[in-house]
Amino acid sequence: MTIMENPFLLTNKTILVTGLDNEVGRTVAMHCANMGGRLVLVHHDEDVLDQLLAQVPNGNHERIVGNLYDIETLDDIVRNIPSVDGWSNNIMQSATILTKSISQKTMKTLEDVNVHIPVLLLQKLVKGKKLNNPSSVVLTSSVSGVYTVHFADSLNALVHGAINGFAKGAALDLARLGIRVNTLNMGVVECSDTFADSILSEEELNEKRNYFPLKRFGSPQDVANATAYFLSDASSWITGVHIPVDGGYTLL
Amino acid sequence: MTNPYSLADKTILVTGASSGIGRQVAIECANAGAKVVITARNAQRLQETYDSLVGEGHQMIIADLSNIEDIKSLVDACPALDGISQNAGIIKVILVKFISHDYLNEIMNTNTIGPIMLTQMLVRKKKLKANSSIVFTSSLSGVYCVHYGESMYAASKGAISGFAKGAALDLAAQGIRVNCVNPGIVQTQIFETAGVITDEDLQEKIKLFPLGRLGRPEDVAYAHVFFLSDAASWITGVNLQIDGGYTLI
Repeated sequence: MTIMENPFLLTNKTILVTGLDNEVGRTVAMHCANMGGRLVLVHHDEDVLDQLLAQVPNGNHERIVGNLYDIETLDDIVRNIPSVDGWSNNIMQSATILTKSISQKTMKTLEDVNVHIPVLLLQKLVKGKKLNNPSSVVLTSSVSGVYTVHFADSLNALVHGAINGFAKGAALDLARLGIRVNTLNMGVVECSDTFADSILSEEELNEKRNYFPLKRFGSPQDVANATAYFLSDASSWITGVHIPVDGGYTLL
Repeated sequence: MTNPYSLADKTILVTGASSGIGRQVAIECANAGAKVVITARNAQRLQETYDSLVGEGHQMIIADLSNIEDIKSLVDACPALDGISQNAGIIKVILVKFISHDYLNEIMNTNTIGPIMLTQMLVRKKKLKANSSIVFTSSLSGVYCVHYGESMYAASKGAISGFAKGAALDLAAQGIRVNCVNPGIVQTQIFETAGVITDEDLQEKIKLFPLGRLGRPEDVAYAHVFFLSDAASWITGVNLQIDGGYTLI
């Protein structure tokens, strides 16, 4: 098989990656570049962009300095984004709060970051004709609120349930434009700093790992691998799905 | 940079490999670098699949997976495996009031009992390596939706999707993953030969798919390759719709 025929490659595709302040987003960006994609990276911190681009194969990548957390600036940012063949969103924030302790402020922050920003970004990308036909949108989400919940998880469940519902509606609306929309629902993904401030001992962490039938936490690379599959032509007849990337956690 | 979607150095058993989705899975697995062991009932059509595989070291074994003796000899003949792609399947469109015990046995034997017993024997005989992957071609039918006259087919596919979740859990400790792909209407011979859908019906059907086309065997085959590969090493117990958005509506 020649390289060009491999449907999993992102050669000749321009991929927008957002959510670079977390390791999942950065790993997705590196993986997309490794699979041959041309990156468009948006982030407010130039150093993060420079460090990331220094680690990926050369490919005429593009960096856009902008603060996606500021909803007022989204129009300006989107204006600077070139037309793309795919978008991986990894902007995510979670909070452990018992239902009785929910405040309007926390709720608004979580809704803004996890729902309003991705939804408005998609709206503006579509309106601005930045998503080519065909193109693919992959939203990183969580198993929480879609397949399962934990104690003090109700706000996370709220926002992830919302973005998963939205993704299905958007998948239907955008299908006629050749734009696919799919969601990946992560279980616990262990980044280098995930348990840095944890009060759990290594033994307790191992006990937690054993909750996962495959006996480990996920890695950012696990999410990146699935993201690139849904961005690639290999999945060109798949839209509106959400799949758990969770080591079998939600089977139990 | 290693390509995590590659199947190089993997040996994959593909059932139902004489036509349709199974044949395409065999072809795409070989394209992705795997050695494939292909099996089906029809020797001539299986040979056609074999002849279209790129690469070296492939194997061909004739077996009828609705027959337990055939499953036994297939398992004995199999080398150690890194993955199984199970695609053997039949469809019978029959309204509930016309279901007979014979029809039911036939469809359940081929679509459900055969694949389950093949899985059991391969595990029992330790033919599946650690970190191997099992993928079933299930269906939308019986898992996400159904159509008129499909109740037996839906039963057989709903059962295999249920089995896959249980097997995913039981086999996780050995590092064996189990996933299903659930295609919508894919243009394969099974629909032509079974007379399920006429040409005019097909044109009408396409309108029901938001992405504006029916499935191609490749769409399903690539999902098999994804789940068989190390790229999916933290994914197990999943049912993945491959349906052009059909089940959204």
